[in-house]
Amino acid sequence: MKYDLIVVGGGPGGLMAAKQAAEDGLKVALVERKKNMTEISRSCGEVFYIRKLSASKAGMHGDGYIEPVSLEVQDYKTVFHFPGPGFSIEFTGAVKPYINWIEVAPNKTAVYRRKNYIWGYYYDKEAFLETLLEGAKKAGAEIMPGTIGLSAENTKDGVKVQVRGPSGDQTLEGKKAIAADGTSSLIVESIGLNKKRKVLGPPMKMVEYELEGTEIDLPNCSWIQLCVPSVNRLMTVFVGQRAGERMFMATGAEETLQGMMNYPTFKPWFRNAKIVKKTAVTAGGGGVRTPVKEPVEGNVYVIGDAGSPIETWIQGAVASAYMAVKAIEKELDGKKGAKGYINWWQQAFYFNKPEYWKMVFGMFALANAWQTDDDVNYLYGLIKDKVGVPQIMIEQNLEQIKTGRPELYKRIKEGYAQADQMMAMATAP
Amino acid sequence: MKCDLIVVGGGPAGLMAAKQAAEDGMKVVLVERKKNVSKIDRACLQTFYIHKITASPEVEAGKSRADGYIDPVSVELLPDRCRFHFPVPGFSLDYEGSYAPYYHWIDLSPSGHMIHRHKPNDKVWALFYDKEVLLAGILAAAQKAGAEVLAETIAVGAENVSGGVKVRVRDRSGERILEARAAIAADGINSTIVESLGLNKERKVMSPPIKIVDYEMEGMETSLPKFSMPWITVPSLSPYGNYGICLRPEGRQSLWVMTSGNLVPSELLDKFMKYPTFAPWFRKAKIVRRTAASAEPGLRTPIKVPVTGNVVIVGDAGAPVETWIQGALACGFQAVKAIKKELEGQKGFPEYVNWWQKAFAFNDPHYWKVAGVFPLNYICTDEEVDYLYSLFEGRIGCATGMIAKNLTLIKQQKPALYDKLTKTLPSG
Repeated sequence: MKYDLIVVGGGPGGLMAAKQAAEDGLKVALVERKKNMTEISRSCGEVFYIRKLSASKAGMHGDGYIEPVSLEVQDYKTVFHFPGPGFSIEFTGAVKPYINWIEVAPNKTAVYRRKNYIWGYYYDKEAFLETLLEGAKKAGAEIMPGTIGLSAENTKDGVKVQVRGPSGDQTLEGKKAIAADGTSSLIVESIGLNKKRKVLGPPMKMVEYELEGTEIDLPNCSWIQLCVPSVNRLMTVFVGQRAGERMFMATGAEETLQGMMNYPTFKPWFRNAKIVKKTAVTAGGGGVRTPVKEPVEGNVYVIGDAGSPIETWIQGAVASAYMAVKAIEKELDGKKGAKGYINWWQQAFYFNKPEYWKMVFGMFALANAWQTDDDVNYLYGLIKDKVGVPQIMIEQNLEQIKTGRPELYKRIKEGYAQADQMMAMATAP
Repeated sequence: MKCDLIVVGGGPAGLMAAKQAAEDGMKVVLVERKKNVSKIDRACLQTFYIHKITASPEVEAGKSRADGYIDPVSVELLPDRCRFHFPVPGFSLDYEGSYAPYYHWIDLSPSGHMIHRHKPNDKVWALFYDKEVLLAGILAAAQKAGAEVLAETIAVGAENVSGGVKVRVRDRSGERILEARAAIAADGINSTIVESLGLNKERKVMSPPIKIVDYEMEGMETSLPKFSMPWITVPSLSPYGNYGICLRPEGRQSLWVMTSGNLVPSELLDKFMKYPTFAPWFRKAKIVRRTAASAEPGLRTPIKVPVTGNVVIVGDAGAPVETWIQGALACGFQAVKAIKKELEGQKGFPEYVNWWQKAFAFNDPHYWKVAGVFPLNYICTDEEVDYLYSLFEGRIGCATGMIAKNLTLIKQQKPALYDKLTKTLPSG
């Protein structure tokens, strides 16, 4: 047996797994599709979430990775702490705080979801991946860039991974493997875990522009969501930070980005803006699926987005990598580790909780209900001086909406009923 | 007699000392002038410094070096609070009040030329935090651990006696003597304890009395990047000190006026608010609070050996200007550790003295070499400050540091200004 561990995928999860396992003395191989492994070619929010606030009435908890994390600002260094699993990562790349989260209506009515405290950080994901990659290499992991992990097969005492690299196809053999190949994971498909997952909807697409020279007249350090039904009735446009003075904007379709840049209210923001980079991503190649419930199949461990409906966040990917490696090390020592990892996975991610689906569908219910720009102006106008999650605050103002806009009220109620049906489907055994 | 420890002064250093001593099992009494101990009635920036960049021309642009407390510190942002870490002394403090990040530090000239001390939009280099909330938390912890707090009590003087110390205090019912095995002087820059022990005799006064007034405002709208701490040099308005702007809770900001001699702070404020570059910032501004702080008779050289007999000096009581809140907290902690050792028959004081001399920039001769260099307010006109800042606009670093590195260029372009500047250089 050549390797103790084969890691498929070199994103945050895979790199963390390779680094941790190699540092712990395992013989590790990592395969990654890209030649330039740390270059980000797919759209990503690049946020380290400290305080998590979901749209659920239950209040403060995660949309993605639930366990508390913290970020320590030291002199010219940032340290990400993961007290749940029990590790820390040092980082010297750019970080910028997010202090506000603002949802903006077509007439520029702004509702602050979060205001005047640091709830998260933009961090340079490429620099973060480089940090992990360097750590993995230094610890002796064998890194194989430009190599795709095609499939995995459990054998009696290990696992065989089919890979295709610059010199052709080959089979890698290891005692254990980690599937860290993201939301459209080939490894998860090949070991049959997708058969147990329900498809909830079409793949989620995200198109992103990185911009220079934006002139946004809202407070700095804000995560901004633009809600304009006449541009796109169902998708909001996210605007956030990138390194230096750059910003990004992202949504489901490029014409929506263009539409927003030309929408009269927001056009002045982009008067002198230049698009310097364009990326896109498709989450859930075969459709958005329910999460993998038991992310261990034989000798293959699933981590990060490979087992999630959409995203575990970077921090969840890294945490699951650490936990999977620790479980694998136990198993290799002849102890029980797999069950512990499965239990942890089920507790650590919000998408494994029914409330998560209520939140997701509740958001869509509202987006389905508002049809015109004026609807959003009206709804956000009702709550504009409050700080909180718009979906929740709107729900608390239903009586006022019933009198003020009976038609809209009816559509919101219908939306909630649909959401309940979707919810029942998603959480059915 | 007698308690183990009397702490004079209930600011950050004194409260931290009382908390630590009580938690370590000492019988401790804290005396504080104010009725509401943790209430802040004097001007304070209320900043937690993480990346520090000094005016030292010998420091490369972007490299950090402390003005006040040198030991590294860090701030950890947790889901529901901040935690300030002091890894050298070895303690942490939780804080649940409001805060705001600083991520620009700007030197600004009269007509608005900007020099950034840190690469903009890259890192949080400091936090504004609410000192009252921090102090209230430490006070509560001190009392919970059994510290006795005497509010509205002034310490008049201290005297070393065999095996302990006597502290004379005055409250509404008159004067009395408190006795303890040791005392901590934490009564700030104009410390009566330090004076009563004769420690000021060895200190030189280096400046005239200095006064700082903090005007907290609502509705100030600067044209600067958000989350900035600008230091503004306008010689025609204020020849003795800069203006500064700092963050306050709920989006408020404070304008700082530094002055000396006969200049009236309110007039300096008024002139600033009418100065063409800055007037638009104050169109909607309303002053909501005014606080002041002063150093009399002026700034003194630091106390070299901050222990005399059984009395330990902490925080600003032994400093020329300020140890910063973080330095004061560290002092309080370290002093208690030293006293505890001494009370247990070990040597604790030499360690404290040694730490004090290394932990603060003002104890480094290099600090004084650069501290007085290029007092632009005093030697330049507004136009000259504009010229100097325009040379370095868009570059990262400290204005005076960059001036020092580019004297040749200035000599070529403005020989008279060069002469004025170089006259302020230390002769060695």
